[in-house]
Amino acid sequence: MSTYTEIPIRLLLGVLPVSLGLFGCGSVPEPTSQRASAAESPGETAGYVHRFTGSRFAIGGSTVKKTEFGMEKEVGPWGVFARILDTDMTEAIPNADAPTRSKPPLAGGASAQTSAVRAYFLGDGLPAGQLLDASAMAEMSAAGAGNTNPDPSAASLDRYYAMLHRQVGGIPVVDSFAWASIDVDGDVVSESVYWPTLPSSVSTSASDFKAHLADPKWNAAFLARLPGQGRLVIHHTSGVWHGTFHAAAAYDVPSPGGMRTLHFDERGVAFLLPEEVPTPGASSTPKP
Amino acid sequence: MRIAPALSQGPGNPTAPPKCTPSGPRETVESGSAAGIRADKLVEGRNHLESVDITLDPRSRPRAMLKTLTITGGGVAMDYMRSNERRILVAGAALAFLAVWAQAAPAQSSSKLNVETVNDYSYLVGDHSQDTHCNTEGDNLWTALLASGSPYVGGNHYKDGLVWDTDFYDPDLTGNPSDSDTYNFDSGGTAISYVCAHGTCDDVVHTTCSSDADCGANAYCPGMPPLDSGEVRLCIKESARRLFTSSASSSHANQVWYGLNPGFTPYKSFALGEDAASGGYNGAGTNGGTNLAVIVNSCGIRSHYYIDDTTHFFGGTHSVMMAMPTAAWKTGGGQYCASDTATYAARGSYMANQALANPFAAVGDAWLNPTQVDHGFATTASGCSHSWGANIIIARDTTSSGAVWHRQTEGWMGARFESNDPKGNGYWAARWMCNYDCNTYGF
Repeated sequence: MSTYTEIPIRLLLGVLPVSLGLFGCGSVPEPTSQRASAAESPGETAGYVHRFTGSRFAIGGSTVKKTEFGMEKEVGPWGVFARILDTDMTEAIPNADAPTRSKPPLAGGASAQTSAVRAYFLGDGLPAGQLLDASAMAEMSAAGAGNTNPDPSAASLDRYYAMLHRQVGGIPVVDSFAWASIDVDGDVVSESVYWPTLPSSVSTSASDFKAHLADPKWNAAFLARLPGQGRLVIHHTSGVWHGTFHAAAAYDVPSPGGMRTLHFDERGVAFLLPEEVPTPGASSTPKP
Repeated sequence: MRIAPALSQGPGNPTAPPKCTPSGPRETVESGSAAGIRADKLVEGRNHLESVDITLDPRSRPRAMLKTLTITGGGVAMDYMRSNERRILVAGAALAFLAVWAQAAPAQSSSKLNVETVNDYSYLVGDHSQDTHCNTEGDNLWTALLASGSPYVGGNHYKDGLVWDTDFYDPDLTGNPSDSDTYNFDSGGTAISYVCAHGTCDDVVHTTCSSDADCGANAYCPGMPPLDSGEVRLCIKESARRLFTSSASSSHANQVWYGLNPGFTPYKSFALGEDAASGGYNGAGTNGGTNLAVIVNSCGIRSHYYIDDTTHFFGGTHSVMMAMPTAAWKTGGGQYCASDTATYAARGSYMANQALANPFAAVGDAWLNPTQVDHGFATTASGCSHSWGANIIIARDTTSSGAVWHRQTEGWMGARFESNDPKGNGYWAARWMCNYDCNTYGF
């Protein structure tokens, strides 16, 4: 049976400088490739890069290549398809006056949108075995005059989006995503994908963590040390993170104070994700 | 505690440049004996030009050098095709063309970024149990948006104890000279103001409901996807909202009250964007200036009360973007739950990335980005499992079309132009993205 180092929650921030950067069972993972690609070594969980050549983004015609702000862009008359060089996250952003932004959504409602987006990305190579779920998101709008609260039922649907979530071994990989919005003509209005390769150490440690949680006695002892119940997930740095790529299994619990999620490793030790670590030297500007 | 171009235009102004039509179509412009310069793309702000791409007529291209001439608020770029010797002929024509468009170039634009975030709530609550990740959210926005080559510049970047509640109160609106948004959140020359701090979900009441009728006056039964077995919805009542700071230098008990309690006059605090370009029509003079305001706090705006919740906000700001948790329910085990705004460390980075990836994109699209919305919400307590919510953008202007333009079409470049400041706030337009199908299930 594993032993735990008790770190009471009330001292959490006091010991965080010690626990910062700890991932998995007390070891700092090797920096992994920041590029999402097909698995390069056994045990890695293959990533998926959604490239311009596989995109149905309605960019409006011939494009001009441009590299700036850490992105390689295809710039067209109706928008930009950008790939972030550090992470291979891709995004297609229409111009404000792109005609696709005014077109009706794909016929068939939320379920049609979800099915179409799912098929679109799977057809482009998103690993089917890693798909957790596909869910619809709705963009709505309303307008009026004066200062009276509007009747929410009067709002109109602008378009649907579908968000594809990822899992490895049944454990949600909460920072990966693939989403798109397809219009009535089957064109992609906008989209974005970040689905990086995950090191074998992460899937192994996550699997072990899950197995331990399935043991009632282990589970009870583990939860007794936490501020509440949560869920096992896999985190990785975001597609707009320009530091070293990191991924790790974590038991996420809502903070009792709200607005923040606490991450615990298998020992019950709280840790911060790299993007949550305060930036060294990033102090406030002086206040007159 | 869950603790929160331009030149003015008008028919009577003899110095005004020609009136531009919004969202202009493609136009062909002939320029004398020049080598067929054509404006391929006209992207206009509400009152003036945002950018134009000029390409040479293919018939003249073999004799010409200039392939594209892009004029934007940030300058002019020319792409040349071949050798230098023909550049003068084309450049001359291009300059003549430029002279026409120069009249429509924006005379004044804002470029400052102001960021105020609170991580450390120890001053307010006595320990670190209420701390957030707001500082890293703000740091990541600051670093990303001020990257080399960006059109934005750093304004105020305050954290923790340097975030005072008076930073968000407008002295002209409140009549209190100690209030100072003029020099802080709403300072002049600001393109974007961003605040992340605690709010409170104290408007969730322990009354179960299946329809609005179960909640009584000034309350509603929130729409949401089907709940789990045994769960039932809870009412949300209208009440003033709050942003909480945590500083020894605050003057309002570290609380920024806004919105209203039914039957009472609205709180006076936020009054945003009022300056010489907008004029003073909001009871807050012209002592402000921010063009875009982003407010991230817990339960800071509600789906049924977003007009009341933003009373006094619109004094010249182009739009306000907020996070809107939507759900409230009681579990089968009797636990009271609600969805809440989550601090998401990459929120600022994603927003900055969108602005830099495509400056001609609508600003609202970055806030309503599904990645943002999917990660932007959590729940108020462990044991609660539905993190449903929406990001919302609201704009106001003197006309419905103006408000809709700000909400739907205003780009990052146009959002910096002072000539796009609304001159009134009689009409509103709102747009939101839910992390679920709120068209079917409501919110």
